[in-house]
Amino acid sequence: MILADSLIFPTFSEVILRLYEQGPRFLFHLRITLLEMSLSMGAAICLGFPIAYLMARFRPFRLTFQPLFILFKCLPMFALAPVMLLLFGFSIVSIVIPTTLMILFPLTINIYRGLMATPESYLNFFKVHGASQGQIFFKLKLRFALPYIFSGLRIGSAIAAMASIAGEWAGAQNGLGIFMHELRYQFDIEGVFATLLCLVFLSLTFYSSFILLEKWVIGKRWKYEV
Amino acid sequence: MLEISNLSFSYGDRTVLNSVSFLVKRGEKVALVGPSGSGKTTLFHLIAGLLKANSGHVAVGEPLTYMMQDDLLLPWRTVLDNVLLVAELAGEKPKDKALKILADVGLGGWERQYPKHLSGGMRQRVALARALLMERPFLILDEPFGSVDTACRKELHHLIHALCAQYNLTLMFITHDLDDAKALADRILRMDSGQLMGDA
Repeated sequence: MILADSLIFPTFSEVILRLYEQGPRFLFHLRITLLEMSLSMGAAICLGFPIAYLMARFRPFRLTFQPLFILFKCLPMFALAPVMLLLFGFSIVSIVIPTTLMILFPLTINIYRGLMATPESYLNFFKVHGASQGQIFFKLKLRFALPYIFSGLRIGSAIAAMASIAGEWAGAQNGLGIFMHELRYQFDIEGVFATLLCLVFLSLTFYSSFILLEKWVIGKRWKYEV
Repeated sequence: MLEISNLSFSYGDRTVLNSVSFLVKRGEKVALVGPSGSGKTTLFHLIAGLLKANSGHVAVGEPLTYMMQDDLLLPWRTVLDNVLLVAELAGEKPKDKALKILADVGLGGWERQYPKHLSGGMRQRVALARALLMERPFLILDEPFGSVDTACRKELHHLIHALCAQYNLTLMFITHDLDDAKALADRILRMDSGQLMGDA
């Protein structure tokens, strides 16, 4: 059977053995991809929070950013890859910018929806008792927004790995995507599967870190009640 | 304490309150009764300053606390932290006083629990404790007995009576139930279609 052909599908032990043999090389490329993912996620968070806040607070921002987001969503970000390569060459910036843009849309929309999710009656309660705008934001709106914010972060973290690899394929010198290409050209099937295993590990670690952060920040006590 | 004169309010073309006037004296307990949509909650929103009247005048002589229809407890805060919330907004944190008031409303020992562990009646008591903490002399309650059973309702009647005497409060509350009004109030105002129909 073709599915069982060891030329196409190596055994798990062969994959692990390849991982062990070429450990330092895998680690080097894994670190590059992790750096790209982290930088993109960080940049998306830094941009997403203020944009979502402005959208929630001021109607003109909402009217300006919503069509822009739809535009970004419709445009395949890696159509930007040639432009990025022209502008920044084979540098990490060429990967981080499109990846950031891909994470930014779902993250910002989730934060925005969260900031708008505070029930009117709670807002009235705070206003009646003389709360300042800062108190309303930090003691009320942000807390009601937390489940939405973490939902956005989890979606963003899942996109980060996919987008970084696609970015590396579009134009990079290092990273797991590039390493996978190299191994494929050498017909190193075990190596390709070992790279996939690294990617799964990286994605799961990245995603799980946000789940752990969510559990730590929100806890289980009130999460399902809101 | 409270003077309402010729107060009118409308949402667009729909008139909600039409030339409402009445007085509430210090220490009085006044019930506001009437069918749904008669303008009771809008009147309380105007008294609390959440809405601006189209015409007429609201004069509130003393600082007030407004306990809204729902208990509005924050689910991520413990009972004690919920009680302290209004004080925190004013930059204070009188923890000992909050514990005493929680004991006064029969919730001593529950201060570390979260709202989801409380019954409807207990949640109302926490909201009441939160309202009492700042010792504002005028308390307005929007349907404080809406989500509690008969037994708990009677307990809350006794409690509010006792607290009004203990803290020397002026009380105004909305209810659909004439029995609640008779049990608690010195005076009953009846509203219908945005107008004051009776004062007894």
